Amino acid sequence: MAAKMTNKINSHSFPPSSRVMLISGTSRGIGKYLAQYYLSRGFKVIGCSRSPSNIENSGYLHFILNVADEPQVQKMLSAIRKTYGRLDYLLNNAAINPKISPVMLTSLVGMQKTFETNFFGTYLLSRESVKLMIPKKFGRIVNFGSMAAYHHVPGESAYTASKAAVLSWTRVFAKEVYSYGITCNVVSPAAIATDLSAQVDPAALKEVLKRNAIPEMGKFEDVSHLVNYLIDDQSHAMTGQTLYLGGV
Amino acid sequence: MSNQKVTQVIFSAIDELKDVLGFEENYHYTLETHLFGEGGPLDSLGLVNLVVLVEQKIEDELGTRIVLADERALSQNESPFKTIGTLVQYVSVLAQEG
Repeated sequence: MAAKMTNKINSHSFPPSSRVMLISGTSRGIGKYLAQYYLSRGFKVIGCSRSPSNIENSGYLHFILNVADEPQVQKMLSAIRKTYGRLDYLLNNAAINPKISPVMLTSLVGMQKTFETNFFGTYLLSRESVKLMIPKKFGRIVNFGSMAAYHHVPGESAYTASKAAVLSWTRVFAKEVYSYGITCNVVSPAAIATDLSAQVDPAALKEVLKRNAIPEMGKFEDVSHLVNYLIDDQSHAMTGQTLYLGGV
Repeated sequence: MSNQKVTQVIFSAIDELKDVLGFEENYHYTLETHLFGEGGPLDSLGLVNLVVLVEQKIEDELGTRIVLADERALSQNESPFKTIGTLVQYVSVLAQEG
C-alpha cells in the first residue's frame, strides 16, 4: 500500500483579488514597496515586522512580530488560514544588517541575531506557510539573498553568512516541496537605497558595486519585475535558483 | 485533554486523506496500524500531508496550536510517526503543553 502522490502542477486561475500574499519586513524598504505594489495589483497582502506599519489599505493586514519567534509566526499563519483560507505567495524579505565589523570584533550575540532574522525567520515563515499551500497544491516562495553572498566583502561576515545560508537552504527546500506544486527561489538584489543599505559605508558600497556589470544602485521596480516572474503560475519549472540583479 | 479526543482527530484526518495516503476505501485501521518508517505505508510526502492536517484539526477542533516538528520527535527512540498509536501519544503530550 504505497502512498499516492501525483506530481501534477496546478495552475490556478483565481483573479488577483482572491490571491493572498505574505511579505515579511513591510514596515520599510523593499518590503514596504512590495506590499504597496501588490496591493495596487489587487492582491490581499499580509505584512509583518517588529514595528507598526503605516500602510493604509483595506486589503492589507499587519502583524507586529519577530519572524524568528515560533509561537508568534504560528499565530499569524493561523489567522491567515482563518481569514483567507489560503496562502499563495510568501516573500521572505525581512533582514537585518549589523554594522560592518571584522570577525574578530563581531559578538556572538550579533552573529546570532543576524541569523535569527535573516535565516531562521526565512526557514520558519516558509515552513509554516507551506502548510497553507500544500492543500491547494500551489505556492510560490521568494527568499531574499544579497550580492554580499557573492562578493564576500570583509567586515560583512554575519550578513554574508546568513544570506549564504538562505541560498543553500532554498535549494534543499525547493526539492522537498516541488511535488506539492510549490516553488522556492532567491532574489538577490544589488544594493537598493533603503534604511538597510544606508548602514553601509557609502564609499565601501561604491567599491563593491564596481564589481557588478551595472555599477549603480538598483531600483525597487527591478525587484518587483523579477518577483512577478517567479510567482507567475507558469513559472513552475523555475525553482531552487538564485537570481542576481545588477549584473553581479 | 483526553487521548480519546486526539484519537478521534487523528482518525478523522486519516479518513480525510485516505486517497492521498494510499489507504484503500474499506481498509480498517487501528492504533497499531503502521504509518511511517519500516512497514509503514506513508512516504515523506504522505507524512507531510498528514502532519499539516493533524495540526490544523487539533487547532480547529480542540483549540490548541501544536507544532509536530518538535525536537523531541527526532530524539525519541521510537518515532512518534511509527503507528497511529504512537502519533496519538505524541500529539496528546504536545496538546497538553499547548
